[in-house]
Amino acid sequence: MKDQEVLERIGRGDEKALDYLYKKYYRMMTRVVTSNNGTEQDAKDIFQDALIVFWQKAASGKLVLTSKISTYIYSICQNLWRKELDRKSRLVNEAKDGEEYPDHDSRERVKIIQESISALGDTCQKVLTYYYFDGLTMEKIAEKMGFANTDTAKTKKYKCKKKLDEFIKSKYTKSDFLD
Amino acid sequence: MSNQQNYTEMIDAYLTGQLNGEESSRLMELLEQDPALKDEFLLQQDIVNSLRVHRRNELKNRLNNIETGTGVSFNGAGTLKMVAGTALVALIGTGIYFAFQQNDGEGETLNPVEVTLQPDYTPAISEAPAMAETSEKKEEAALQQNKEVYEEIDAPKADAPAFAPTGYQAAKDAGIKSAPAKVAGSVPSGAKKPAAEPAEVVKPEVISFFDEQDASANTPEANTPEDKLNTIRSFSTQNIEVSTVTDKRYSFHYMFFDNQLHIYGEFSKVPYEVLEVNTGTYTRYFLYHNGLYYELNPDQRKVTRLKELNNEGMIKELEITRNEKLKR
Repeated sequence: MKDQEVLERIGRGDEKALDYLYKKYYRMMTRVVTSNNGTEQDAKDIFQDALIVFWQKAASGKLVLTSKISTYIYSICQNLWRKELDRKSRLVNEAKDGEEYPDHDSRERVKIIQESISALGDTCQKVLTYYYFDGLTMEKIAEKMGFANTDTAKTKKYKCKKKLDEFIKSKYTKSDFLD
Repeated sequence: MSNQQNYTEMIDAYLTGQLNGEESSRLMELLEQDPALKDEFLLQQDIVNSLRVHRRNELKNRLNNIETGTGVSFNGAGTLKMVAGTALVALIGTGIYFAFQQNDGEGETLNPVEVTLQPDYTPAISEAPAMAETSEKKEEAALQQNKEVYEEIDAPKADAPAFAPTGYQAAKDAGIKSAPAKVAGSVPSGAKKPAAEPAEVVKPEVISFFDEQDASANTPEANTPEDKLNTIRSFSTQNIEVSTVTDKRYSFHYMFFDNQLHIYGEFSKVPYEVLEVNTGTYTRYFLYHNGLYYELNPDQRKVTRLKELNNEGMIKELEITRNEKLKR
């Protein structure tokens, strides 16, 4: 697959393009990390993270690519790994504070939210996540999901979000009572 | 309430970066003036972030399941079951070990270490997935799908939205990176000090078994993207001897070779655990002590200082394993 086709596919939210890039560049990209004080596992994580960054940019149409895809992803890997190394060295020098987590209430809330998302139907999950993470337009969502038209997608998104909000709010209130 | 409804769209647009500078400022002002609206905004922010995290994890799992040569990977609820299953087995193994404790006298001065474990485990190894299932149901979820892995928040790392709240900063850093193989053969090492023997070597029970799970078969989720199914996992724990050593020269060190681990330092007050992570191609060892994880090099012939593990993904996975074990 040529770069152009890959970009087109990602623009439509075609995840097979993601798979393709992963397999094609795995060795090359993981070397960024393994040749620089990283383990195989570190490398895998970094490459996956980088690829997802790339995916999100490309899918949402925010990407202006002036080089090869591989070059671009390569530099994302380098940046992420550099950040990770910096973070590691900082933690070694300071005592690890361990309490990087948000407070208990926030965590509880996030947990409720995550569970609610998981409880959504497949279609709603997809529509919402494509909208909020991939940044696909309604048109592309309609296309990808096989909806009749863009308006259908809009309505679906609206309804799904409302459903999710209500579900979360009902659960949240309940747990307040249980406290 | 109708005020909020009017602003729902505005908030949504803000959270997806569709408001310009002026509109954004206006919204921020409104939030300052209206605490109820501000609360709604914060909630929406959390929801949108969680949706992003959910999707990100989905993509991450997808990639993790792609064959690149390691041959082992897993995802979502399947992970939890396997981790829980392993922890369970490790517990059983520990129980069996304590029943047949042996002592070795050695030249070194050893400190006996006592580790508090939950002894209330029940069924045989083959029931491990069922146990995990039960514990899952016990969770708050009256929901059909309970992807507990998402309890650990993993927001997009490099491309975080500008408004990401501080809470997510930490979560971002702590995100799960699904490692290719997890499952720690938890080998808690502890020995009661017998009256006669000053020195002890802890020999963990050998536990070997293979647990194959087909995610599509066991996972009831209809939400799983079709591509994410069919994951096969296998693991085993090897026989490692662990001994603790008191030596003035070494306050927090270790030596590890030929499956013998010697840890140097003060371990009698705070218990420790040795964790083994096994993929198809390599095995990693970790020490957990006092809230921190340390990676152990299995070919470490020279006494060296314990080095803190900073890979957040790995830490998360090890945390899950340990916590699952403690819950029982």
